[in-house]
Amino acid sequence: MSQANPAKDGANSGMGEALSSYDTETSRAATSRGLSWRQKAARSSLTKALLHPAITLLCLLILFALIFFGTLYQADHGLFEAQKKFFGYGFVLIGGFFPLPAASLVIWVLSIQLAIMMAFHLPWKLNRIGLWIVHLGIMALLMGGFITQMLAVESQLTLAEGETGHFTTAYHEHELAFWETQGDTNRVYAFDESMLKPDRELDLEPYHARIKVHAYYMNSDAFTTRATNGPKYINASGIGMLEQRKPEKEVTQNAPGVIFTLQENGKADKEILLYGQELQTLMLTLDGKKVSAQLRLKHYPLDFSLHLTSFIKNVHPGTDIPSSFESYADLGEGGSTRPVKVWMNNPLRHAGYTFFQASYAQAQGMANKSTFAVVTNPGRVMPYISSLVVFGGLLLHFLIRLVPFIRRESAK
Amino acid sequence: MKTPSPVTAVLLLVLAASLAPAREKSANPGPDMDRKFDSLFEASQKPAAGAAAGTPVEEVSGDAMPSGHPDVSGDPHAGMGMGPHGHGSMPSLLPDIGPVPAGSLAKVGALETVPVLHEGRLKPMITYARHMLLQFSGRTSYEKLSAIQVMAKLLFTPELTGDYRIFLINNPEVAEALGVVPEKSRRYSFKMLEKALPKLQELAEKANAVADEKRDLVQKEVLRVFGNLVEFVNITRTFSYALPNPIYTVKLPETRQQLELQPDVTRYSFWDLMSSAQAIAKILEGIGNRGEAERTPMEREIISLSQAMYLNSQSLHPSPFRIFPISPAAAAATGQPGWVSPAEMVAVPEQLQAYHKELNAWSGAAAAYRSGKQEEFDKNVAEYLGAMENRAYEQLSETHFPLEVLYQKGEPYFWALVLYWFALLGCFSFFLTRKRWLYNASLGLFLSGYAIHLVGIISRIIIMKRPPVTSLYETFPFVAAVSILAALFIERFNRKAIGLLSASLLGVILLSIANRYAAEGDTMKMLVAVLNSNFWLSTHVVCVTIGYSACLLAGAIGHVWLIRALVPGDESKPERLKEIAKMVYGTLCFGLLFSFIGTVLGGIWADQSWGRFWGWDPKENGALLIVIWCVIMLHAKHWGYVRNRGMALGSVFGAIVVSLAWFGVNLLNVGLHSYGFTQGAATKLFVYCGSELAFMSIAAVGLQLGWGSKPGPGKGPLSPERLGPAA
Repeated sequence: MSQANPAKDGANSGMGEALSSYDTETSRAATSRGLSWRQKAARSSLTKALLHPAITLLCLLILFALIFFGTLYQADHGLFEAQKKFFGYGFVLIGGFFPLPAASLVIWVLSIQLAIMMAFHLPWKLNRIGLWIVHLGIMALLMGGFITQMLAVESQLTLAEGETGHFTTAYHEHELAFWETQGDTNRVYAFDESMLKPDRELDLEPYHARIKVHAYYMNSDAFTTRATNGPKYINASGIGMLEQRKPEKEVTQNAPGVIFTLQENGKADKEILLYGQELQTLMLTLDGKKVSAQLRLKHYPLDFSLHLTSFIKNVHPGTDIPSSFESYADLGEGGSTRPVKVWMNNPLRHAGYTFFQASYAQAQGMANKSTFAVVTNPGRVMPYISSLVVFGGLLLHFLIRLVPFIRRESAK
Repeated sequence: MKTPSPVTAVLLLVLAASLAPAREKSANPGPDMDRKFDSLFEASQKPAAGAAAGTPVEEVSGDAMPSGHPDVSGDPHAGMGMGPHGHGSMPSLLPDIGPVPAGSLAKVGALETVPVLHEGRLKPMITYARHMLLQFSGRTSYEKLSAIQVMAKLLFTPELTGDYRIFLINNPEVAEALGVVPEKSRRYSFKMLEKALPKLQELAEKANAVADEKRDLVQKEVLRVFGNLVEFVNITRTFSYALPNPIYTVKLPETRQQLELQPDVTRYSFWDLMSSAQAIAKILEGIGNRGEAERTPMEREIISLSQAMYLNSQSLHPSPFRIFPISPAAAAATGQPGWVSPAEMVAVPEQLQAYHKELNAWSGAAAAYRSGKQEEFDKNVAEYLGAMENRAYEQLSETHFPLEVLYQKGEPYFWALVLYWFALLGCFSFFLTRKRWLYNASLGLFLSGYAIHLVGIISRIIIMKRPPVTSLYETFPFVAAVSILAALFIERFNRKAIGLLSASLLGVILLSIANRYAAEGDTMKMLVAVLNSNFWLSTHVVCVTIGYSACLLAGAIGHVWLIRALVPGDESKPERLKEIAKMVYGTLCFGLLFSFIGTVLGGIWADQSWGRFWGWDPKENGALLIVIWCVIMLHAKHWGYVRNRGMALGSVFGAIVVSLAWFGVNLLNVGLHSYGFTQGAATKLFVYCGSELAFMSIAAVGLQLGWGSKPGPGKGPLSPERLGPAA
């Protein structure tokens, strides 16, 4: 406030000084006797260097540039590529030549600065309470983002009317799955695509076998012929060769492929090729058991089941403009079922899962299909809370500044 | 008029159908030509749906007899195989009415409140008429005719509308490609374009095969023009059941007498004959199995007429014009959308009786219009309205037609814009002359403009039963209103006309954009499912747009600061500049508050509908850019990296960021928010950004060089030499 704090420069006065300097206050407080640990820490040259405002402003400017150019990049290359390029921990070459640190790096620097600032620097004063709340909220928002990035799982479930779903499917992550059918359940043993690195050896424990990965392609073309002198692979669809391709703009359109050797004790090695777009599953006999193998979109088993009874699409009268999409389903758990309805802006929440009405398919002579986006996200509530906190803080801070201003101006 | 019982109407058409094969040859005198138009209209369905703002044009088959004329016709034109507007070898697509005298009426106000179901919404005909004309011509009137007058002409005297230059072709390349001599006014008549229809169809088919986002401007324009022509033809055929048609020429006086037709004319409409259905059916039954040779001339004529009626009833053109409410049960049974067009009504014989009163009223209105009988016209329309209201009172009770008619006729945004212009001029004059009365006058003008502006926004909220912002178009008046409110708040504390100047500047710019944008189609559309949520529309969208408003206002005040700083002034100048800088700062704080909460609410909405809080969608990124820019400015100011000048420059840059986030991202054609149709807007946006950046650089350099820092040679109006470098 202008009364408490002499203006730093002629320009800073009155309302123009709403976010006035706390550097000045801290240093003033420091001249009085008996420094607290907080004040001592704030005065250390390390803290000062770490909290240098130029770093903060530079980081914010870089973030601004990254989002701007990332958005342009996304239009041409798709979201997945843009996120990989601009949101990682490395460096981005803007326009092919100007290097900038990628967003995660920048956000970490800002978060650390924020933490230090809150720990040592921001003064404990009543008229700063708004700023405290704002920055605490920002902290929580960033933490929520981190939790979501680390722990949230997004998948989907497509059901035709009359079908029951027991698991959801990833959008684009694949897995190398082996399973044997026992009654009406499958016992599955699967490796994430992230584990399929060349020359890596993986144990296929239940069948006392080993896998040696030769190649994993995120996107590839399959050929029924095989390269001259190349090995002859075992494959259910007669694929003889894979060739790597540049990943697609839409990551869901990638067709991955894997080539590996299956080693069993006392048996000849098997050279196996699996392709992500295959309809057939490969049947193997392992350890005397009938085992299916497939490179498929990752499955996430559910502890309950969802049975789609009907899907309804409504349109505005006399047009093709949809006014709502509605799925009616039965949720089955522990022997009992209950009817549920999922529609636009009104998801189904159950056991940590959230089912959103995402898409549909209708065709003449076929049962309607409904697609749900399925999300589990332990950090889900964080943005709700933190944004409320930030908003409250901003409002409080601006009111603290604005009310005296209006009073003063009205008095004039 | 006599009333045909439903049984006879059905019987008549069944009897006629049984005799139909014998007639087919004569009903289609130009088979090649007919096929051509069949394909034209079949092919037109898709582009019409896409380009003409999604108008559903179902089953638009070619008129089975566009130039059909019975053998018995005594009409001198009949042998030519075309209407009076035929061009050489090609019959016109306008309804063939023949040389029947057509008058007109100037007062068609009775039509204004007729409910029309169009694009999923029940609207008064005036809205529909204005939207249609705007979509065709980019204007809401044609010469001295208002939209509703043009609509009346299209409906009741379609044969006279071929010369109206109401088709706007923005792109001269399109006109050239069609072999039409480009007009300076860029507006063409149906007759001028009709010759080029086959070519246009070919181009439209090609353009239609291209994915929506990959179409270039020419292709978009081709589709738009083609869709407009199809819609035009469909409108002109709306009441063809009630208009005279050469195929219903009755040559023999005894036939006229037998069927109790009006004796003094020879050419009738489908509806005239349908009113004599009983008599016709009786004669048809009387003929029984008698052979061709044993029939009297009158019987032959009546057979021809009934067969023509049958074919005609099956091929009347559905129009976008749905004015007959049908019961939900009937709608479900026939798969119709609750309201049907006259042609769809006439095609179902069972409905003729039930809707006789309405159909008859329209037929009477058409006749009254054509013969220039005002009272009869008004009476018939009122009769229709009365009958229709009985059926649809429930649906109508949810509408606000009087308000909507007032909104459409009053054009509040236009008048607000006019007043803002005057206020802006007044403001400038005040700055030059410092006369207090000028200030008061512009404030008065401005406030009246603002009141009208608000009335416009509130009317839309009431009419559409939706929050104020649901489409890109609606953001313009709303952002203008909010930023003006903030500017007036500033003006309240600082009566130096700075707030007033910024407010009228923003009002003029934003409402002008809104008016331009309105020309691209219906601004009161229904919403797709995901947007169909009043709660989120009224929280997220409103907050984000308030954020836009504040940042734009800050930018506008920033301009004022820079210009004042560049211009030499008296000793009070530094103090003035400081005050203006304070306004910029305060407005930016306000902008940050609302941009932030709006962005976050958007995240929460996304989390509720799609399961992710943040998805790096371009529109989300745009909103985030605004937030980050405000944060940068406030922190830079706090730490002393920027002062007043930096704030002013930064706020101008902030306005660029807002413009990019607001509609720049819509040009990227990706993401979930790509709903805004922004044809050709890219260039304007680039020009805007470019000129703002240039302004910023010049101002920055100029201030660095010390322009405007010396006091000028005294008070008074600015002279050009005082703007030069003073350092």
